[in-house]
This record gives sequence, structure tokens and C-alpha cells, in this order.
Amino acid sequence: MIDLAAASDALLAGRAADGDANAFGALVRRHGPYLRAFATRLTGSAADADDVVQEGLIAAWDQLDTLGEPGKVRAWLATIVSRKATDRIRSRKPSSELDEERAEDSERGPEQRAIATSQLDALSDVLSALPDAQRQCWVLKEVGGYSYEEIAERLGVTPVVVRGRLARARATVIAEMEAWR
Amino acid sequence: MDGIGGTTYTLDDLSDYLDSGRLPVNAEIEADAECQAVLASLERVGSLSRELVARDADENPTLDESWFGSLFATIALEVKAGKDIPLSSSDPHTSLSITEGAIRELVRAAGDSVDGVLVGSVRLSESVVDISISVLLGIPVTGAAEAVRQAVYSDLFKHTELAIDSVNVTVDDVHVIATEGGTA
Amino acid sequence: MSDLATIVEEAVRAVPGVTSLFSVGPASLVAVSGTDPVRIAVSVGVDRSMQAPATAAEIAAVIRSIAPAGADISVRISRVAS
Repeated sequence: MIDLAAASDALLAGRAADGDANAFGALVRRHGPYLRAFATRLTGSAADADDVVQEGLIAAWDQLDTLGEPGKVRAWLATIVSRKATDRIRSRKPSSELDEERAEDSERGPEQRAIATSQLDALSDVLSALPDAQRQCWVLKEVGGYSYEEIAERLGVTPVVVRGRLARARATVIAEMEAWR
Repeated sequence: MDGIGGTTYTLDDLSDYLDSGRLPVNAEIEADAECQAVLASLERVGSLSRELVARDADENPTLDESWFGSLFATIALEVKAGKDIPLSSSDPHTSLSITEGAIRELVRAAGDSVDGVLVGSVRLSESVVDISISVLLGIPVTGAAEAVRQAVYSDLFKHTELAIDSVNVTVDDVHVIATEGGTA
Repeated sequence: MSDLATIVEEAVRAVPGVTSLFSVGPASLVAVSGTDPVRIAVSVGVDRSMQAPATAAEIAAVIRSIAPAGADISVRISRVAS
């Protein structure tokens, strides 16, 4: 068996589109961890992330001929996964009040948060503590790079609502990152 | 709502400005120290967010094998067969065929079998085969392409009844780690 | 009908070079339908050391020897691999 791990994204995508499941598997191994990390930050749940990444990859396998630029595989996969993630978010029990409250439990406890040893740790804490609705908009905007309209469409709200959530998130993040310094 | 610094621009306005690549240039924003500081902060938290997800991925580089296995099992159920290409049969009540997917797979395997070659995409028309390949850095490209051509002709002759006019091999990629049997 | 499918499946697997059978219907590796004529269809993977067209013809011949007279037989090669 040849070593597909040496192959470029473009080559693997070409083979996968032709039906080579092993080439698709190589893409999954290469990009899976990033997709899972992205989905975890977006959905706020590692278990949900595992599901939506798998659903996204299964959908991607069927849509490989829609991959425009073979060199942009990761971004293309992330877009498909982000849709599965927002679909799942929308199907959760409506709890709009909770969405706007700050999360009490995050991965790192209060003591750890107080002594975040790096900017990334500090940001991780700040993002984890954001209300779900704000964090989702944040991740889609700052990590996903989607427009307000795209985010609004995926979350089933208006762009005005997205702007509002992002505005609040931005104010919180900037203030808390400054305070950490 | 008060603006930032000496301006009437809000955090939202500065975000939009940043999103638009700071174009067209807004002289007032660019001249205001506090606006500049806020823009710098916005840029920083954005790039830190992307860095954070990348770090999350680096810290969790392995995929659960059973998760991977169930993904693979689902995908493998859907065979990308493509068209049925007829094979000749002496009996009118017997129909023999080989799928396009099978032909593409055997063309891929023929190309992969050449040292230092990784096949990319395979395109089949009635009498023409177009293949793109990646060649291991250091291996003479012309020789590799010719070896692929021969291997593909040979396998298509053996396994199909297609009358192939040409096998076009395009080298459009290079890789740097040896494939099995490679010489690097 | 299901007995015929089972017999056909066993016979096809025994043909030299056949590595696998693929689904041709929901949960069926051999599709048997119709009564006059009976229609039998299989989708197989063959080893690349064997010539696929010759193997397909041999598979059809084997099925022909088992099937009711006048049956319509369809053999599709879905994979040629090692």
C-alpha cells in the first residue's frame, strides 16, 4: 500500500472524488483533529463535536465534486462541518434565556482562570464563559470567517441579532483580555 | 452611545472597518490613538482565536479508532460505481459489464505501482484516459510518466475492451516523502 | 427464489479470481427476480491477476449452468483489485 500521507490535499481530493476511500481516510486523519477542535469550540460540547464532524465528513464524501479548489480542502470541510454544527445547535431544546446567561462551568476552574499562564489559556477561559449564543457567533466569525449574513442564515436569526451578539462578545473579550494583561 | 477616543465611531464600527480591510481609508479612525489601539486589540483576539483552535487540534491529534471505523464503514457502503461499461458477450441473454469506478481504480493502482508515483485524478472518456500524477522529488519526471502510461495501457488492455487512443499523463504535483518502494 | 440466490452466490464465490460480491439490492448479494424469464444479477470484485472480461464470462457461464433455462443473466465487475 502506498503512503498516502505524503500526498497533497489536492491529490487526495482528486482520488477521493474518484471513489478512493483510502484517500478520503487520509484527508480525515489530516484534517479531523482541526475539524473536531473547531466543532467543539462552536457547539461547546466534545460529544456533539464528534457527531457533527462525522456527519459533515459523510456529507463531504458525497459532495467531493463540489470542491472547487482542491487546495482549499480544510476550509471546505470546515464549512460543511459548521453547517452540521449549527443544524445541531438549532435542534437543541430552546433555552434562549440560558443562552444569554454566562456559563458557570467551563473546562478550567476559577483558580486556574485567575492564573492563566498564557494568552491562549486566558482567551480559552473567556470564550468558554461567554453565553452560548455569543460564543457561537464569535467562533463562526473569528475562526470560521463567515459573514454576518451567512452566520444569521445558519443560526436561523437575523443579521441584526448576529451583530448584537458579536458586539457584546467583542466588548467582553477585549475587556477581559486587557484585564488579564 | 459615546464613540471611541475623540470619534463618534463605536466598537461595532471599528469591527466593520477591520472586516473591510481598513478600506476605504478612514482618516479620522487612522489618526485616533484609541481607535488604533482598539483595532489592534480586535485583530489580536481574532488571530488568537484561530491560534487557539489550532492549538486545541495539536493537543488532540489522534482520532478515536472506532469513530474513524464507523465513518469508514458508512462511506464504503456507497460504491462510486459510475456507468456500466459493456463487455462483449456471445449470448443475448447474458449481459457483462465493468463499472467506471472499477476501471478508475485499476488505473490508479497501475499508476501507483510505478516507483515514486502517486496518482491523483483519473478521467475516462471512450478512447482517452487523462491521469494526473504526483512524482517523488528527485525522480525523473519523463521516465515516471512513461512508466505510468505503459502500466495503464497494459492493465486497460487486460481488464477492459476499451479501444484506447491515448493515455495522457500530467505531472502536476510533487511530493517529498517516499512511497513504499520509493528510493528516497 | 431465495434458495436459487444462495446457490448462485456460493457458485460465484467459487469462480477463480472472485474476491467479493457487492450488494445488488437491499441486503442481497444476488438479485433474483421475474419468473419467465428469471433474471439474475450479481456485482463482483475480481483479483487483478485474472483478466476481468474472461472472469465475467466464466461467472456468467457458471450461473447459466445453475439457472432455469432462458434466464437473463447480468454480471457486473465493480472492482479489480489485489
